[in-house]
Amino acid sequence: MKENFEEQIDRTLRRIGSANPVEGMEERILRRVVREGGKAQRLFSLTRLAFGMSVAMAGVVIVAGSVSHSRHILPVAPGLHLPAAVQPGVGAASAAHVAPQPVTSLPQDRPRSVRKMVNGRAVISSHARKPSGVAVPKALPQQP
Amino acid sequence: MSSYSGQIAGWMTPAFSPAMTVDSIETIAALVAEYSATLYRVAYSVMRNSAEAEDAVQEAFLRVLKHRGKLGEIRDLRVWLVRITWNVVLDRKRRVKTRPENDDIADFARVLPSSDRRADEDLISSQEHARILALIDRLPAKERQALLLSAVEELSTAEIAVALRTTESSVRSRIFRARRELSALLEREGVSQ
Repeated sequence: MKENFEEQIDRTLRRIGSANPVEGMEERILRRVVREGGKAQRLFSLTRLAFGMSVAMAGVVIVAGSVSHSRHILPVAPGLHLPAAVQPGVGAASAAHVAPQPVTSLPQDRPRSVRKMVNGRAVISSHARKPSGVAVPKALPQQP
Repeated sequence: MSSYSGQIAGWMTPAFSPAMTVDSIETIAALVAEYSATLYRVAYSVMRNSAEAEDAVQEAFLRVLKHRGKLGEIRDLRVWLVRITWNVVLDRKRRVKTRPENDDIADFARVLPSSDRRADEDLISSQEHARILALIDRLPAKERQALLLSAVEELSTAEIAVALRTTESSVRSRIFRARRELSALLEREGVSQ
């Protein structure tokens, strides 16, 4: 019985393992290989073109964005206005160096060097404590 | 860094070289002429349908075309092709999930030319044959795959081992277990009755 099973298995396996393709399979395979190969070639060309164009676009966008960003953050010095005609070139040595104009102080401010004086002379209080031996001129009488 | 640049190079490398040269066509034509019948039998052992088996072989050669740059590095082209075909077939089988209903019983008639067929082989009916195949499908995957590949006469145990990415001894033990299990199933099912 067991041998019978083995024989059946062998017969089935032999049938599977000795299957023959339908005639003309080789030609059909080659035709498909050539056809699909051509398709893939065209697809690859298109893919490469699309990839190249996207890279170029990305480059343009990066450069434009960078230039635009630089212009936005360019600091402008107060009071410094260079006319376009004055710009001689990009060289630092040949550039026109225009000194910035002095900033005028607001009316309520005062210069640091200015002291409060009366008639152009310092006034020392008579009650001020002075070291001995220091001669201090007497205060002038107040004039009306 | 190197892996990154490698990845970039991979993207830039064409899947197909810019021109399908006459050489590459001739190379593939030679491979088709020499191995297509063997590959067909490998595919047929799993698909069991003539059209599907042929389609799988065609897909295998398309993969060869895609990787034809590697052809020079391949030591054993036959085993390499068998492995590609085997992967194609398993992919397709996985996609289908279940065993296809359209087992081409009529194909059995052209399995062998009638002059080559032994008398005892004629005795087995198509139905009986189909039942045994159904039992083979119930075997564990590893055992089933080894058994089906062993059915392809052109393949040695060593080649089957390479195709299945295992050792020769493992292939032998898988085939042994598969046959034993199949006998047990046949006994249980009473196929011989």
